[in-house]
Amino acid sequence: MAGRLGRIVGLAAILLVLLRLGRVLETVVDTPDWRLLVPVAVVGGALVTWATAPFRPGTRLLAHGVGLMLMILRIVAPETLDQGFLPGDGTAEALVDEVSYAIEILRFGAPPVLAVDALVALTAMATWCLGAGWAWSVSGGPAGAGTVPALGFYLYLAVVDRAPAATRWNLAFAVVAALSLVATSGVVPPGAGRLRSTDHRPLPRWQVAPALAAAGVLVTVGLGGSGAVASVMPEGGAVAWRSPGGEGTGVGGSGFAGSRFADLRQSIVSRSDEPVFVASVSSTPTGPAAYWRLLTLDVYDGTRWSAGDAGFRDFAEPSTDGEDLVRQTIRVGSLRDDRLPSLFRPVTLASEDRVLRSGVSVGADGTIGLSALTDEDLTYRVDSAVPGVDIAALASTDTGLSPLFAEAEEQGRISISATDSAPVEEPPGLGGFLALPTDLDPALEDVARETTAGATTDFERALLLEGFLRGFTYSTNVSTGHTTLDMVDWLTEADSVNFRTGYCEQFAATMGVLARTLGIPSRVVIGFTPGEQVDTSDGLLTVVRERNAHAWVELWLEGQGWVAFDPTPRGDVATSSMVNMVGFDPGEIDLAANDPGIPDPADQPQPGDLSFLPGTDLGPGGGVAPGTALPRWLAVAGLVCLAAAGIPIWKRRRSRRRRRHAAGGDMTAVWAEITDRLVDLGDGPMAHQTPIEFAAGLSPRLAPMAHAYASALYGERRIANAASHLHVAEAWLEDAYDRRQRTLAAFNPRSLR
Amino acid sequence: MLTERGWLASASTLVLTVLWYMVGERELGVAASILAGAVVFSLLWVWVNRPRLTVSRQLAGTGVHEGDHAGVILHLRNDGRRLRQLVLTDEVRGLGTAEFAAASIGPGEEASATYRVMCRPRGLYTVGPSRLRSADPLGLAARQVPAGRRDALIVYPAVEPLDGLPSAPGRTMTVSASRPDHGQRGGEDFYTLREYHRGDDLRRVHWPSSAHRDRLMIRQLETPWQARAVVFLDLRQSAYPDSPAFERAVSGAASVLRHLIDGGFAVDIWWGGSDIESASTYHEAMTRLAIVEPSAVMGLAATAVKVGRGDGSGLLVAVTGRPDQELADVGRLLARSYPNTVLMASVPDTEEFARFRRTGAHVVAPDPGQTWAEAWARTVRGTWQAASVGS
Repeated sequence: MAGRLGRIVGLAAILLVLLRLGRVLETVVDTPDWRLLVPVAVVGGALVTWATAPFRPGTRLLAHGVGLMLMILRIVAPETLDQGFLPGDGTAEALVDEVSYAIEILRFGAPPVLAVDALVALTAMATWCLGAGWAWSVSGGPAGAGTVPALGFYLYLAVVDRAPAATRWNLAFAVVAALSLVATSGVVPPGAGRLRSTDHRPLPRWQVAPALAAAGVLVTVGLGGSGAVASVMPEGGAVAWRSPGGEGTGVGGSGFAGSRFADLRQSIVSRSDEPVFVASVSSTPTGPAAYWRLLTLDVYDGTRWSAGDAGFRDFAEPSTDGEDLVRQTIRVGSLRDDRLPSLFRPVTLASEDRVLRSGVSVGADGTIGLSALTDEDLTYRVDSAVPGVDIAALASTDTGLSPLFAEAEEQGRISISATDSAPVEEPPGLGGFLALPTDLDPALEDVARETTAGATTDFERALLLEGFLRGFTYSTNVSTGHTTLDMVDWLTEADSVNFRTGYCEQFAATMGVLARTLGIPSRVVIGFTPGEQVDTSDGLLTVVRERNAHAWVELWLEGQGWVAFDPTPRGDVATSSMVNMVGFDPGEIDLAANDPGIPDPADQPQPGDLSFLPGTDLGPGGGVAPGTALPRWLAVAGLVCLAAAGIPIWKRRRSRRRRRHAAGGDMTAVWAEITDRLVDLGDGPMAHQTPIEFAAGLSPRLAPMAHAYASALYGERRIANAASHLHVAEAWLEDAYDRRQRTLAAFNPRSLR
Repeated sequence: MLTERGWLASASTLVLTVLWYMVGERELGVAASILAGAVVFSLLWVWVNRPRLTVSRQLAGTGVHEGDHAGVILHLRNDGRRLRQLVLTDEVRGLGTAEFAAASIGPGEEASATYRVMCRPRGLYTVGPSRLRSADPLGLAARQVPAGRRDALIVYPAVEPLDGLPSAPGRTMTVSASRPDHGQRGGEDFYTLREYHRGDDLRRVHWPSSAHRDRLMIRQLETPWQARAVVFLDLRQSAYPDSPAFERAVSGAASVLRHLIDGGFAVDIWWGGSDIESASTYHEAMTRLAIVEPSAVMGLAATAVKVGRGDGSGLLVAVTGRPDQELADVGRLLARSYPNTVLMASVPDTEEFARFRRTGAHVVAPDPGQTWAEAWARTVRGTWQAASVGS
């Protein structure tokens, strides 16, 4: 009874883990669905445990190791495998790359994290072990092997899950944990006999009622006790481990903004509709697109963009310099960060939240810093000054319109006239936004100059760079990386893996670097695209979802200050580029007169036109590179595993039914059970043999059963001691066939036909 | 009071609480609270449910031979309040432990448990006292108390059924009579009258003669003809190359002892000391054989002279490992007293066997893989064939 309860509780614990995984893993479009892979891994671990039961522990571990490795390789690097399962040339490299990225997500990601291939593989590996432990426990191993690892893994998931769990999760965990304590109690020693009462009636060894009552008490104590003690525990824990820490730590301690990009990529690729925050905006700002700023990265070390000293200070007296003000009332949803999103240049902030009122500051770049983490329903109000972007002023030079705009004006593409703009004071340390590593590959500057050949102003160069990059391909299915080396390959090497393909991380990082090579101060901004307008009873609300996570670039342009550019050709038209603001595509303007070496615009890549990319077969996906569909082999393997697991389960059910019949005196059920087992063992009866002949040919110990069966078949159907005949025959089977033979026979479907 | 699992739960509670404090995850607190609650619950449980039971034990059969099963029956009665999750453990030290579990035993309720234990090797084993363990339903705490008395289980050496007796031509051991015994044991036929000695059975007082002589006279009955035998077990450690050889010798001695007693012999046992012990009862002899051990310091020649003051009748069965010169000398010394000699050797040694055969002894030495019974039968067949040839 306790063993059966243990099996059920073990399965419940694994189910709880799978459900909890749904909170911390996010299904990714075009990648293997973890919701299928992880249960298959559980079954796989259990099957390998059962199938290798007759062998030595070393052999069993080896079988698990091979199975795990095969599964991981098939998930992470299937295209590098020879014959579909042998590691090929690039397998190790791909494995390291993917696993590194998964570890980066594990370290810095904010759940629900993106279920990238390697993360799915690692999760499947863990659940494989859970399945193996459960199978071990039901096959005679320690009872705790089926439940304790699963509960431990669940607690790990609960810890990494930054969103507080609802009470039902606590209740479910408490019930499973308490039942696990009961099921693994071991108060009845294995093999213990039964005491008998004075009338020789065997006394039960274990009773479920007191155990369940104890479990009920424990659930109550667990929930009540934790609730009572929670009041004295520090909210969020004494260790600020949940801080994203994007500026200070990183892989290898190199100090890069990996966390932000990791989070960003997860958010972008997940395409989740999870609301990050909801805002009520006082008016639709005119001019620049209303992007929500979260963080500014202004240091490029040749490997990564990272955030430097943002110069945080308290909010000063509002100073708008005549700019328009936009008021945003923001209520935080799933966002967990130490920065607050806001539009444009925040000048005031108000909130009822005590922590927020006392621990908020604003950076020189407009970033709002918080000395704590945001949590759900945190509400605050920000007034932001909307910087006016004067396209005419940007298009003007001392002598009139710059050549690009003059040509566009002449071609009638725009109507614009030269104008002067009021000078904008350069911020101190502007030169820092031009800093590049000394060993930067000169090819990057070559690309930048070639792209902007003929342009005479920084604005023209910026527009051409933005247009150049927006002609690339948007895809989230790219390997991570925007180092100098990756960037050069990405821009110039058609054979590179992600040639001119990527998402905002690559585009913003590249444009920032290219601008600096041209002497234009630049910085990368991370935040969110404007979001979705939703008309509610509370008015028009802006819902910003996880999929709106974005990165863009700000360039310092003389006379205008920091101006946002968005070089990402995002397919969902969620972004707004400066090219759209100026009203024409600068790539279509022939600047050959200024520089004969400039490429023909007709040869320039156009958005959606990817035919110029050699060797790039994008398939039916058009502008978005195809992802990895669920491998067919995996589905087949899963079905095979399920079918294989079903055979012994089906036989077990059949055996139980026959046992019941045998207890009622049905000798035919006994005979059918034994002969079916012998059929699976390869020693079934021949067609010409009578039952007695068949039994005599196997063992004299089976003779009484055969005679009883013959008597039942041709005479009285009910045999009083049919169950004892079954018991004797089963004992003989155990003596005559070793455990390996019996295990293999359990998976033999022959008797099911 | 806390079990190993209970201590583990306590430590886990501490760890989970610290983790809860550090990372602030509520479910860590739930787990810690459950474990802490479980430990407290368990301690309270076993504190309330203190076992008070009476346990008695009954060993089925007075003597079992090596390789047999001995039955043990335990009876217990709950003298206290209702007990839950009770485990009764009874140990036969050196042979095994039996455990019985019961979910509940009410006040005044009686219960019993039966188990069998495989007895191997021979020896004297202590049984009990039983241990009663009352645990909580979670297995985190338990209280264990001893109950019942300590018993002894004697495991006799293994015996093999022997058949017949090796006999030399011209001699029949079973009819080689000893002298009439005038001891107190007496026989069945009237032999003579003698004076009463203290301890005589008063029912044998011959009253007419007592009246006639004015002192108590006793009817002395004649002792019937009875075959006599002495079984000598060689306890010299030097005679055995290893322990199995000694154990086989003990088994051989036990087998021949039973065979002779069953055959009506008056059997004495000689261990190599200065006295011959009478195997008055089978169980006494077997008990002695159950605990006999080889000795590193033992000489046979000196004591053999004393033992050899016999009357030239009877059978001597010498059981040893590998026969040596000293044993051969003893054989010669005893040859006059025990002209019929059988040597049982557990270690084959053809040369020594030949020496013994030259003195007229019959040698029973099982080949590797052969039993004493088979070797005995082979020797018996050999003596019959020799008798046929000689007659």
